[in-house]
Amino acid sequence: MVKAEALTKCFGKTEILKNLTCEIRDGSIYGLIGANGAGKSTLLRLIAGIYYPDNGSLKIDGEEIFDNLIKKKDVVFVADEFYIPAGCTVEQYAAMYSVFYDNFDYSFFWKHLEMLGLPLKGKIMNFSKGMKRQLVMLCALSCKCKTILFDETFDGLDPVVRNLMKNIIYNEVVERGVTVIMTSHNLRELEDICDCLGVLYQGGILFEGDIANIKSNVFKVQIAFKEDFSEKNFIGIDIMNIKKHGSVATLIIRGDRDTEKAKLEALNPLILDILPLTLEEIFIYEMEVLGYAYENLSV
Amino acid sequence: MLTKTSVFDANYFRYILKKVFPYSLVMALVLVLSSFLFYNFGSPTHITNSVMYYDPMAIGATANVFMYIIPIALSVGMFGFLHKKNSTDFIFGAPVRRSALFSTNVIAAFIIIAVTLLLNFGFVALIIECFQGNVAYVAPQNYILMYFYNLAGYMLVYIVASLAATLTGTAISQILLTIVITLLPAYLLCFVQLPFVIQYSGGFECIDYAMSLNSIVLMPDVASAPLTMIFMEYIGSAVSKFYGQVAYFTNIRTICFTILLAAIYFIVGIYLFKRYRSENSGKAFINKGVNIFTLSGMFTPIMLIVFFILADGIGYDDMLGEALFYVFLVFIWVAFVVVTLIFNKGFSGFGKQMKLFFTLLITTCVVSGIFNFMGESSVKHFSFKNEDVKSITLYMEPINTAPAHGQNVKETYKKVTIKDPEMLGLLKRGNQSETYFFEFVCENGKKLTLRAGLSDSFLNALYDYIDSNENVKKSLFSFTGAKKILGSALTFKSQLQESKTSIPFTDKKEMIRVIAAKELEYLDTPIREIYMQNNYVDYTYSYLKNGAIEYYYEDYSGNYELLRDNSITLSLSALRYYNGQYYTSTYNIDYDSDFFLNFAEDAHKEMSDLLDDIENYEESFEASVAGAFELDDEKYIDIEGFIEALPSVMREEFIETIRKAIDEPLIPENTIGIYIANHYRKNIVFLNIDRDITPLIEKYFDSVTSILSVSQNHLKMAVGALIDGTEGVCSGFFSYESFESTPHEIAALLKENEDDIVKILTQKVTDKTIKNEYYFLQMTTDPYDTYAFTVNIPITTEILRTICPRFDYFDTKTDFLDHNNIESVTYDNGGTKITDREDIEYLTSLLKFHYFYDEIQDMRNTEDSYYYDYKFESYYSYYDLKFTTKDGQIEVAQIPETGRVREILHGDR
Repeated sequence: MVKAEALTKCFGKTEILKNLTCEIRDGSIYGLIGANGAGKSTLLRLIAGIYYPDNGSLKIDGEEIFDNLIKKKDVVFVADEFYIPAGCTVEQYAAMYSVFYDNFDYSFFWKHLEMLGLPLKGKIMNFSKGMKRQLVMLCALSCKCKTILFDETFDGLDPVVRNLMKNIIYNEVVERGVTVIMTSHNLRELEDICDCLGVLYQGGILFEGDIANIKSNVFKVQIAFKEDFSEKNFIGIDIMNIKKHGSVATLIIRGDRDTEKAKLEALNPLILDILPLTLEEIFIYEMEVLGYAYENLSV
Repeated sequence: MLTKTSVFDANYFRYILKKVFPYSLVMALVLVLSSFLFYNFGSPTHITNSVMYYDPMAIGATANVFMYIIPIALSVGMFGFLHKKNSTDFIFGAPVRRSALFSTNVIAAFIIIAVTLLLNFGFVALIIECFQGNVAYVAPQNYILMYFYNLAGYMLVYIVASLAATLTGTAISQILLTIVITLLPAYLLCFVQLPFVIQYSGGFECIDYAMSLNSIVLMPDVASAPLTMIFMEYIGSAVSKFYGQVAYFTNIRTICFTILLAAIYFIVGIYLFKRYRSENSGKAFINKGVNIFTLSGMFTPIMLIVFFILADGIGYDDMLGEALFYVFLVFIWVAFVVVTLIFNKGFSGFGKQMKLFFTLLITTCVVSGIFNFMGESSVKHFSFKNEDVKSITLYMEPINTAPAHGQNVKETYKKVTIKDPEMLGLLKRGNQSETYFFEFVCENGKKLTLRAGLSDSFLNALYDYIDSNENVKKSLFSFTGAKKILGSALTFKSQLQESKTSIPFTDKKEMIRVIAAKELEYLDTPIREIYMQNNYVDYTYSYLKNGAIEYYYEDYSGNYELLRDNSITLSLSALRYYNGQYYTSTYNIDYDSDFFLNFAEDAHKEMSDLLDDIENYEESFEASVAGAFELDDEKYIDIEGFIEALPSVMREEFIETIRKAIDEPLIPENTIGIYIANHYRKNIVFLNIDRDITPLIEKYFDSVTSILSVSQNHLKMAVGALIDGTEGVCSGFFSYESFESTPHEIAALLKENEDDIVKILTQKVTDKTIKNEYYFLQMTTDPYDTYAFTVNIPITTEILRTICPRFDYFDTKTDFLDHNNIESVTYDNGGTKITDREDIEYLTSLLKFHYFYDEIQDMRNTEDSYYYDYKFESYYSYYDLKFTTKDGQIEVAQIPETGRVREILHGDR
C-alpha cells in the first residue's frame, strides 16, 4: 500500500505539495488528475523515490521509499519526458531496464512488442512519439514491479494503442495484483481503466474515491410538475445541482438510485427521467459542491 | 550504516561501464596518441652534468592540462544524467542507492583511468626504450611513481568534478565549479603555510627583509602564478615550490596527499549526493542561495588569470596594470552585454542580467580586495642587525651527489648550522642570482626562513669552517650507494667549448669501481674547491689570457684568486636514482688512465655504427672539438673552427679519416677528441693530431677556396671573431660583429693572403704571431638558415681590418687597453695618483667596463655570449678615474668599485 501522510514538497519557496495525505490500495489502478503544476508528477516522483519529501512521509508497505533499495526494486516510474539514450536500440533499451530490474521479463517484452506492432530492431530515435511511449511503458511493465507509475500515461497514443495498453495494464493488475498509479489531464482517459481517482488541486488531494461508487451514487434526473416548484420541494434528497427551465428541472442527485427515485416518484411528477452521467460531469458537480470552479481545475 | 549495497552496485557498474565505454575509448586514444606531446619527446632528456636522462616525472603543462580535461570530461559524462530531468528521473528512480551511485561511478572511473593511463604509460615506456634507450637513462621506478601520481591526480580531479556535480545541474556550472574547488586547496595551503619571505630590501650592510604571507599566491606578483597554480599546484604541493626552483610533485608524499584530499572530497561528495535535490537538475546550481557567491568565486580567478596574462603580455607594471584592469573590466562588461543580447535574442531580461553582472563585479572586487588587503597587511618588516642573529642553518647541496634538476631543498640538501658570532658577523646580502636557503634563529627566539644570496666573505668563512670540521664535512656527503647508479658518461669540458658527452658506459661494474674510488678522493679535497668547481657563476672576473679564459673570484679579503682556467677536463658524470629523485655526481678522470683507454675503445666501436648510419642514410651530421690533450689553447682554437666546417667541406675525407683512426691504437698525449652527432646519436672519436688531422688541414684550404669560388652567388655575409690575446671582452664583442662583404671580395682577399692562412692552419707561425695577428672568420651563406653552407677560416689582422669597418674603432682604444701604455691613473676626488705598475695593470683591465659597457649589456642578453653571466650587478658604485698614457693622452673613465679598487684608492689594504 502506498501511503502519504502530511506530505510536503517545496521547489524553492514554492510549495508544490502541502500536507498531502492519501492511501492507495494494493492491486488498484489509481488515477491522479489535476491541472498543470498541481503536483501530479511531483507526487509520482516522490513515490518513485526520486524526490525527497521536505515534510511528512511517503511509505510503501510501511517503509520509506527514498534511497530504499529493496522497495525501489518493486517500483518503476515512467516519466512524462522519458529517457532514451542517443543511438539506443530497442534491445539495448530493454537491456538498460533489465540491468536495474532483476525480474525483467524478456518473453513478456518481446511478446507485447510484437503485439503492439513496434519494430524489433532499429534505433529508437527514429520512432514516433507514440511509439517511444509504448516502448517505455512496455519496458516498465516488463520489469514486473509491484508498483508501476505512469506520468501522463496515454499522451500521444492513438485510440487503438491506448486500448491495447490499457488491456495490458489491466491484465497485469488482474494477474499479478500490481498497483498502478497514473496521471492525466484528461479524465476521460482514465475513467474506463482506473478503479480509483484522486483530484490534485493546489498541492492537496481535493477529492478522491472509487469510480464504481461515484458512478452509481451520482445521477441526473429530469423532472417536471404541474405546479410551480423550487428546491425546497425536495426535502430529504441530496441535490448537488439544480437547473430549472420553465416547468422542467434537471437535478444532480447523490445517493442510492432506487431509493432516491422512489422519493421523487412520491412527489407525483409529470415527468421523471433518470439520465446517465459521465465521470467528467460527476466531477464537475462534485467540484462545484466543494466550491471550486470547474474551469480552474482544467480536467 | 555502511553496507555493501551502499558502496557498490554491480548492476549500475555494468550500466555505467557500458555507457562510458565510447568515451573511455576516445580518452585512451587521445592519451596514447598524444604521448609524444605529453612528454615532449622532441627533447625528452634532461642534461645534468652532461648526463642525459629521461625523466617521466618532469611532465610538462600539456600533461597537466590533460589531467584536468580528461577526468572532468569523464565526470561530466558519468554524472550527465543530472543535467536532464528525464535522465535524472530514470537513474534516481532506478533501484540504486545514491551513495552506491556516487561511489560506483568513482570506482568505474578509477578502473577506466587506471587502464587508460596504463596503456599510455606502456606506450610511453615503449617509445623511450625504442628511441631513447641508447642516449638516455631512465629510472624504472619513476614510471611507477609517475603512474600513481597521474592516477591520483586524475582521480582527484574526477572526484572534485563529481563533487561539483552534486552542487550543480549543468555541465558548464559543473566544470566551472570544479575549477574553483581545485583552486581551493592551493589557496588554503598557502594560508596555512608558515610565513615565508619573498621580498627583500636593497639594504647593503645588514639583511633587511620584508615578510609577506604568501601574497605572491593570493594576489600574484608573478603574472603566471594563477596558471601555475591551476596546472601545477592544485594538488597541494604549493609548499614544495618554495623550497626548490622546480616543484617536483611526483613523490610518495604528494601522491599520499593527493589521495587524502581525494578521499575527503569523496566523502563530502557522497554526503552531498545523498541529499541531491534532483528536482533542480538542469539548473546551473541546485541551491540558488549560493549561486551568486559561487559565480563570484569563479569569476574572480578567471578575471585575475585573464587580466594577468593580458598584463604580462603587454608588459605589466603597477600603473599600466591598473589602467589595464579597468580596460579589462570594460571589455568584460561589453562581452557580457553582447552575450546576453545574443542568448536572450533581444533585450528581454536584460535588466536582470545586468543586475547579475554588477553583483558579480562588485563581489569580485570585494573578494579581490580582501585578498589584496590580506596580502598587503601580512607584510612585516624585520630589520635586524647581525648581532641579533643567534644561529643560522644553511641548506647546502650535497658534496658528491647533487640532486639533478630543482628538487625539494629541505628534503635533499644537507644542513649546516653556524653559531660562531664572528662568522655570523660576516652575514651580508650577496649576489642574488645565487641564492641559498637558510633559517635564522634570533636572540629573541624569533625564527625566520629565508632564501637569499649571501656575501662572498660569509661563504668563504663557511668553507673554511667546513674544511676545519671533519664531521661537518662528512655530513655534507650524500652516499646513495653504488647500486643506485643508473649510468654514467664521459664529458669533455672547457670554457670555450660547450660540454661534449660520450656514449653511456656499458661496463657498470667498472663504472661503479671507479666512482667509488673517486668519491673517497673527495674527502681530501678542500670544500671551497668542490663548491666553486660546481658553481660556475661564482667568478668575479674573467680574462682572455694567451688565448684562453681564466676565471677569478674575489675573496673576502679583496684578493683575486684563480678559480679555473681554460684547461680541458675529462669528467665522469654519474647518474643515480634514489627515493624518487635523480642525483648526479662529477669526477675528474685522467686521460691516460686505463679507465679512459677502455672507454675510448668502446666509443670507437660504437662510432663505426654511427658512421654507417650517417653514410647509409646520407644524413647530415655535426662535428666539433670535444677536448684535446697536451695541446696549447691556441692550437685548440685553431682546430675548432676547421673541425666544425669539415662535415660540409670535406665530408667524405673526414668520414674516411675517422674510419681509419678508430682502428689505430690511441695515443692520448697527441690526441684530439671529436664529437660526432647525427639527429639521433652522438659519440666521441679520438684522432691523432699528426697522423689524422694534419693531412686534413692541408686539404682544407684548397677545398675552401674552391668552394668559395663556385658558391660566390650564395655567400651573403661573414662573421669575424677576434682572438687577439688581450681582452676577453673584445673576443666576445667581435663574436657577434657581422659585416657584409661581397663574396667576390672575400674570395679575392683569401686568395691574396693564401700564404698567411696556410701558415696559420698548418701551425707554421709562432704562438706570438697567432696571439697578435690572428682572427677567426666565419662565413655563412645565410646566417638565419640552419642548413646554410658555412666555412671557417683563420685570417690576419690586416685582412680583418679590410673587411670590418668597426675594427678601427677598437683599434684606437688599444692604447688605453694595454696597461704598458698607461703612465698613471689619477683619482681626483680622493686626491690619489696611482703609479704602482701592478695597480695600473689591474685598473686598466677594468677599462672594459667603461669602453664596452653598452655593448656588454647588449651581449648579456645573448645566451651564447661569454658574458651572459657576467656580474655587473655585483657592483654598486663606480669611480671616475683619469688614465694618462705615456704620450700624454688622457681618458676619464668610470671604473666599478671592487674590493681591490677600494684598497688601491683608499689605501685600505
